[in-house]
Amino acid sequence: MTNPAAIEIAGLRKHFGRTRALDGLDLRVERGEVHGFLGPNGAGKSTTIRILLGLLRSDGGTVRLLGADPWRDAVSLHRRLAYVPGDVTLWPNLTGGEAIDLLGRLRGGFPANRRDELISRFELDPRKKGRAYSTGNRQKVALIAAFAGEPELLILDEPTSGLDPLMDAVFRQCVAEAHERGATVLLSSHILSEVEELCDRVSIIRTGRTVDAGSLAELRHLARTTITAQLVRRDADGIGARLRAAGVHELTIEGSTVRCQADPEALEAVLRALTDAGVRALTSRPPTLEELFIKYYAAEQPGEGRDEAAAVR
Amino acid sequence: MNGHMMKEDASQRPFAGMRVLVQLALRRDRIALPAWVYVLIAIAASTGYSLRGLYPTEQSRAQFAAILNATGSTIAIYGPVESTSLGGVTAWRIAVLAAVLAAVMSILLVVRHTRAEEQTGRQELLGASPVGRRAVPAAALGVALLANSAVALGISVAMPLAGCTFTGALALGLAVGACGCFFAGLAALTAQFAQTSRGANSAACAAVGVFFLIRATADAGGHRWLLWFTPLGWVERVGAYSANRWWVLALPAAGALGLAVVATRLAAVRDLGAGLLGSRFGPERAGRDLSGPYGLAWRLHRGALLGWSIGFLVGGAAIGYIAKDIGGVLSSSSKLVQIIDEIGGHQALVDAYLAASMGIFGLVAGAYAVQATLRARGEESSGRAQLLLAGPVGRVRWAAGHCAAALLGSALVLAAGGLGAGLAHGLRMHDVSGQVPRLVLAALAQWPAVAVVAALAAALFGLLPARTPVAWAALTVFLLLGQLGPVLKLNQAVMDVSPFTHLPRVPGDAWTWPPVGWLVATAGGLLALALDGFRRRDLDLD
Repeated sequence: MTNPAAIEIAGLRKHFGRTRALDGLDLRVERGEVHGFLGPNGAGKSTTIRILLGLLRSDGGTVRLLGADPWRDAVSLHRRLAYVPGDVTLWPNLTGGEAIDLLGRLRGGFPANRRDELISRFELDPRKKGRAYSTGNRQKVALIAAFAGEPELLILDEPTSGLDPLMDAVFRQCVAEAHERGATVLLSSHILSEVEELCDRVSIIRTGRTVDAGSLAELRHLARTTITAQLVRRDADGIGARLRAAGVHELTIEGSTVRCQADPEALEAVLRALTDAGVRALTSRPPTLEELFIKYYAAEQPGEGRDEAAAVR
Repeated sequence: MNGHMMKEDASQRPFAGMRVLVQLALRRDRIALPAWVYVLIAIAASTGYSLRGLYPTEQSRAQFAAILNATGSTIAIYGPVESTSLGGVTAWRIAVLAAVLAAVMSILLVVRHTRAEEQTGRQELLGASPVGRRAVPAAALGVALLANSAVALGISVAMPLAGCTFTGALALGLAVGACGCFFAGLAALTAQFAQTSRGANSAACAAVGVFFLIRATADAGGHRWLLWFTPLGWVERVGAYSANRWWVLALPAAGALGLAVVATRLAAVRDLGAGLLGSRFGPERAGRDLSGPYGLAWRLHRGALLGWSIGFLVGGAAIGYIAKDIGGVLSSSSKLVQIIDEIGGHQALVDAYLAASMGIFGLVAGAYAVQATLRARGEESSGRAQLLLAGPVGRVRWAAGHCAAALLGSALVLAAGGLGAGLAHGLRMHDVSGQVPRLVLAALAQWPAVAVVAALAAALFGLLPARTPVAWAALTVFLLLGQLGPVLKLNQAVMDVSPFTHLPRVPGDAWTWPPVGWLVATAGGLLALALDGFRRRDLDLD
């Protein structure tokens, strides 16, 4: 088999007692790609990652990690990857420096200058004992250990939730550098600007299932554009009716100001209706990532979605 | 009440919020605490009931007491029999045992609701709400007071039901409960100094061990004035069913109150999460030994191992030092000399005493073994294990490091106890070269049973990770079977449940190899189950 994808998951299932954590999840991450892994709290991101790491056993579906079985071949696979959990706990009586060295040596060690460079970039005091670190500093310890080894695959589970904006910038640089040298990165994150800046492609999951996957441009295409127009006249004849007929959402008309949201396929008709009514000023804004994700996250059972309820209101 | 007023409330009333904290603690301990209290009461009632059946007449009890008071081994562990009434014999049998159990119950309880809460960060949530600074230790102490009161009340009601008189039962119950309260206060203090709950528990339990040794030396060595310097001796000095000295109860009560005041004051002046001991800094780089799962296991276990070994060495020395005096103390009457000769003479008495001490060593080493094995569980549930297991470290290799620490460590701890006993006894007998190997081997004879305990804890970890505290319950059952079984003449099949029952009683008796082989094989089997189970199961985090 020639160079399989870094991560191939199809129909993955996992339950804890009666709770169904994963329910037919699919995920494909190509080699050398930085892949965003998104979903609301409790969607199953960490469970998926722990299955990829062989810490949990899958109940069904197929999982291939770097072309191998993550449960059976755990030890040999782990030599080629590094993992940073979202909630890092350290040994209370080991210093940060000792923990970094320990984790590095497990994977065969790393160059000392690389380690020291990362420690200074992340501004970590490696002499402190594990119990004395804040959440962010504990995360730095795990991040330094992960980046110092220059592994083939980085699995990062909300790795920056405790970092300040300066350190977050250092983290983004490190991911970009890893990307440049050809490493694959799976990044689970809630920080959308981070995802937008770093990720080539994203997968969005909800209640244990993949809702959508693709590049951000592709996903954006599916969401609505927000349009605000100042018309030449107040209360233009029939503009409301024409816009509704074009299929807009959340329409408000106050005097000469018209606000609405339009699906990509309705854009042309909306613009024609507005120009016919006479436009003095027009702004159109593509969907923000927040809107994109809220659309995916919020949808409940089919037919009674929250966004549809919002559109009616 | 508005928010501003509530804030003032919290700063001005250092005990604000205590009631809610007590309710929270009772809710969280709704199974463990009643179980402890029940066991303590049941020990008193069932012992009284069984002794009534075994020694129904005053005469039979007097004869029983005469033999017991002549054998130093039982005096060292339980003290002398002071009254031959049914209640007197029952009180003699259980007073020290119940006091030690009440102490351990109180220590675990207080540390669980103080330092452990702080270490896990849960207390941060509470500290940010209108809860006074002293309320947390005060609430834990309040719960300990409730639990020990329940024990005292339970014993004073249950023993009369078994046929003992009430006044003595009340004295015994109060003595045991007061002893528990004293150690609750001590644990509240160690929880202020240590940075981890393990440290706080270890320090307070080590104090129980030291006080037990002082008590044993006082009773068996004939220095009874020493009893005044140990809370476990105060239980004896109350003299339930003999002198009934009520005023002695003021000693543990005053001690508990003093310790509680100091502990709550300290809690009010230090930072949240900080101990009064312990450093924040260490080496910048890892030493060469810290390079894999075994190196890490050694690093994590070495401190506890050193502490336990020193404890066993000192304890062994104390036990060995008084061995020579055994049997010489109270055997002045010709009748007793005759009884002693029948049992096998002075040497046999000393050996029986040493063998009984080794039995205690075995049980305490069992506690080390459970603690060391369950460290693997702590590493797992805290999420530290996943950092290693997400690296190229096999499950079995990782778990084996902790099991090895428990198995080899308990052998080392036992050998330290034997070495201490051998050195002290040898020096007094002018036979160091003879006694040291003899007693080190005698201590190591406990190891097969300790290994079964460790393997049982490992099996729980491997197969039922959420049920690992059952290992402590099992050890407690083994302790009760060993300590109460022979006197209550329990069915041999019940006694056989405890691995310690099968050990040869050395020094003294001949070595019997088949049971040793069976125990080692059982431990090996359980260990194989444990490692296989852990290899197959999900990592369980919370």
